[in-house]
Amino acid sequence: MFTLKLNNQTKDKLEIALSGEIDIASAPEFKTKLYALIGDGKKDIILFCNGLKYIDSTGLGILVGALKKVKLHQRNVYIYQLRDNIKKLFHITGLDMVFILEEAV
Amino acid sequence: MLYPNKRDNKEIYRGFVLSDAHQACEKVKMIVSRIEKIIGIDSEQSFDVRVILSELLQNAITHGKTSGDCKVYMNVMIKDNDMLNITVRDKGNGFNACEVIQEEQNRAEGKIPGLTECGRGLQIVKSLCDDIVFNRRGNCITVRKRLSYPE
Repeated sequence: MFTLKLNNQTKDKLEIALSGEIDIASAPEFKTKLYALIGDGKKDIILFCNGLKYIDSTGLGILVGALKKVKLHQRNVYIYQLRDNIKKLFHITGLDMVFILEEAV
Repeated sequence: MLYPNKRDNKEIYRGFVLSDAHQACEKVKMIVSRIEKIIGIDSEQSFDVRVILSELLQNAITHGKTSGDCKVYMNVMIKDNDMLNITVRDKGNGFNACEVIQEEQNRAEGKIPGLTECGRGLQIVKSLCDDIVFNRRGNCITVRKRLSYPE
């Protein structure tokens, strides 16, 4: 299972902590909760992922969906503190060139 | 010796997996746990094996749904002490695997414009494994990945 926690929000950005595991069983709930937080997509999304232990292509697809929502409003998704094994999946799929990946704030 | 010693081959799992997402995830975790117990792989390899199994099952479940509920056949073995062999077969009509992998690769390299929310699974599997082979029909895939023992 995973947890998705809204840490902070301003008029320009949402800071969200994502931890746990996102697999095909938990993906539908993850999608619902993440998209509810994003709302109309008019803010930048900052995802803190140091507690994220597992994600596969289904979860990556949901993150891409979130990015598409905010890109409609010239906003972006920033992904911080990914573990190395998960970062490897971003490299394999080319998503490291699509999202803004950062080691730390 | 022409054939590997049978004692060097260990069957981890052989059977059917239901298309239910929760059951598929639990089965994947159980298989990874068995592999960890048998050869004590590190957490990075465990992660990779879990991703490979999950992607293969998702792919088979997606493409194998010809009518109603579907079951996917899966065989997981460790051959010659360290070569993980995974075969997954569904009852679907198959697909052109080479074409799909090439398309996923092109998308990752930015040759295809636009973002899609699906279609990255086989590319991940291909990258994490040493070998990937499809049958002619495209409904059965076998992958091999060499595992390393902890020092």
